[in-house]
Parts: sequence; C-alpha cells; structure tokens
Amino acid sequence: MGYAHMSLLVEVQAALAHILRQADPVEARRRLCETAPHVIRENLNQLDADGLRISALLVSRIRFERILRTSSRAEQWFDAEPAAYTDAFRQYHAQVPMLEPGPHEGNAFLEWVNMAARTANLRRATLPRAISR
Amino acid sequence: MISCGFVLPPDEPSLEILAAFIEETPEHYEVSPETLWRRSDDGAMNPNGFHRRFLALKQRTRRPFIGRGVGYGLCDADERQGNRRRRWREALRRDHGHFDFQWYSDHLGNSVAHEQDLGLPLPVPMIEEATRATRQRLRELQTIVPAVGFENTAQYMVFGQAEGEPKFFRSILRTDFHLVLDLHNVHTTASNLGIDPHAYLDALPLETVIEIHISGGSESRPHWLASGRIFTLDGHDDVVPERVWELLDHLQGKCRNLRGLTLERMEGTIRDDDVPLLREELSRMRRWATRT
Repeated sequence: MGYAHMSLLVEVQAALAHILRQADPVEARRRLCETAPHVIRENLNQLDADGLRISALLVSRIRFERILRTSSRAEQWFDAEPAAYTDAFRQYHAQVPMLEPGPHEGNAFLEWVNMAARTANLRRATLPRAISR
Repeated sequence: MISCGFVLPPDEPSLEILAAFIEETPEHYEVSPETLWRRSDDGAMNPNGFHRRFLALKQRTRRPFIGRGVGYGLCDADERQGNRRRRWREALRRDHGHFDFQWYSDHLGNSVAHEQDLGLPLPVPMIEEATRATRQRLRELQTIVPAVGFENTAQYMVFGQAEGEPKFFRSILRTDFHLVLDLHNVHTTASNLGIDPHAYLDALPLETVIEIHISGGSESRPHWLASGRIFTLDGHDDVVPERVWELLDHLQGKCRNLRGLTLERMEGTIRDDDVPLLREELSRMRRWATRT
C-alpha cells in the first residue's frame, strides 16, 4: 500500500479494507504494519485480533451471499461442488476488490474464475460444464 | 405521541408471510433506500420492484415513512468518493420526493474505503478528522431531508475504547443532528467488548435520540475462531432478547425528543410462526411508549 498524501482517516480505512479481505487478517495487519507509518500502525494495532477475524468472516459472508444472489450459475456450481466453489471464492475474495454491490457481481466472479483457470492462476478448482466456456 | 413501526423487508417471501401484519399493525414504516434501487451499468440507482411495492403501500395506508441507509459512508473522508455520494444523493432526493421521509439516518462508520464497498459499516478512529468528515456527510444529506442523523453501529472491535463512543457521538451530533439508538447494537457492542451497557446508555446525549430500534440477533459458533471465542452478531434475525427489553426499560422517560420506536427483522429470517411473535413485540413496544 502507498501512503502518499491522503488523510490519516482515509489511510487507516483503506488499510482496514485491505486487511479484512485477507484469509488471515491478523497476519495481514502484521505484514502491512511492517512498512506503514507509525501513526497508521498505532491505530491498526488498537483493533482486537478476534474482532478483526470475525469482521473479516462477516465481510466474506456478505460477498459470498451477494454473488449467489446475483448469479444462478454460481448457485448451481456451489450446489454441485461446494468445496471447489468455496476455494475459488476465497482466492477471488483475497485478490479482487469489493466494488459497489449490484447485479453484476455474480457474473464478475464467474468471469474471474474462467480467466484464472485459463491462466492456471486458480488453485485446484474445477469448473462443472454448466458454467465453463 | 411516540409512533411504533416496522422495517419493511425487501424480500418477497418475507412480505408474503407478513402481508396482513404489515397492512394492519405498524404506525410507521422504515426502509433502507438502497435496497429499493437497482444499479445500472452506468452507476445510476433506479427504482426496483420493492420501490414500487412500498410506494403503493404508502399510497394505500397513508402512513409515514422513515429512511435508514447503511452504505452512504458517513465517516468517509475520501474526496475520490464524491461522485458515488452524488449519485446516492440523487437517488435519495428522488425517493424523498416519493416517500416524504420523516427523518433519515445512516450507520455511523464506513463501509466504503479505498474504492471498495465491504457491505459492513466498519469502525473509525474516534478522532477530530472523523468528526469533521461525518458532520460534512450529514450536512450533505441534510440538503435533502432536513432531519438527519446516524445510527450507532454494532461493534466487534473499536479504535480506542468503546466507552469513548458516547463522547465521540456528542462531538458529531451537537445540536444539529439526531441519534437513532439501536438497542440490539448497544447490547452487541457491550457483549463483545465487555462494557456496561447501562453506563454506555447513560453517557449518550439522550436528548438527541429521535428513534429507538428494537431487534434480536444471534451468536457466532465457537468453531468460527481458533480461540473459540463467541461474538454476539448484529443479525437482526431472531426474537428480541430480554436484555434488549431491559435496556429499553432503562431508557423510560429519558429521551425527551423521542418520536419513534421501530421493530426490525432481517429479510430472509421470517417464518410463518414468527407473525404472532412480531405482533406481541410491537404490542410490547406500544405499552412502553404509552408509559413514557
């Protein structure tokens, strides 16, 4: 993350948004704080570790549900292969920022999965024929 | 008179189950405007089917509506989000023209950061910059609905000490804005962060409370975290627990500018056998309001 000239509030919030999308938010905080300015570290380290973990789980659940609500194809894949779907979702969630919610979210996830599968950037997940292109 | 109302769930199965209850029982309705919008590819927020349905309800019953958002980003200081907030306000202005919101609030916190929408109002450092940013965001909304304020957010972690929230709230509200006091969120924060909810309530600027929210919630499972720690969750998805009713009783006669009590139950969590329970919860709210 860069800390150019933005306000403390904006920088702390941006750091928190990044941390909460990671599978291990406490480790993500530790790594981020290695290079963050003192005042950012000071603020982020005030947050309870389990509070970070549960918040990250809730953020993940929100996104998980938003994708399923906006794509019947995603829902079919989840029903058919929940482990593979969940593995793909975890990677997507960590790598792709959460943009404004909307009807596009489910398709955006599936497009990312297709692209990642083609570039071998997707760990172990397989796509059922129902959604592969 | 303190009005007792209900948050309308933007969910077809819930609305079917609650059809008679919604028509007959609440004295006001509350909606989250962003759940009534469908975002187009160009970012515009257009009315969806629930918008039409709830507008028809207003026209049929002539009962007042209250607006309560979740995602405006009240504590957002990032000027790069200006276009997003402008689009939001345009949609809100249109909806205020239809629903004539008696008052409007959004959750204190920020769900939008670094161009991401995390869907959850996150805590912010309780610093002067956050006070300034939040007051600016509230003034923006005040150009649309004159009576605006914020709702206290359920916390799983805070910057600093949770006991510092009442003072932070005062710094924002002053005499310009109101507080929507969600008692299950107070219960959640107190439970998760180990604070005394009565002392927390007593430290709040209760003269600014315009509305009180009543709801229930659930708990996380021990296996969710390696520590086994259990958190109270801001689910609004279950019966109102006695601890929340007890907090309401604690406030008897203390909120002199209170205008509404609102019952919440999250969409997707309502079953047929919940209807008598919701009627009883609304009745209990009315009995409290009558005594106040």
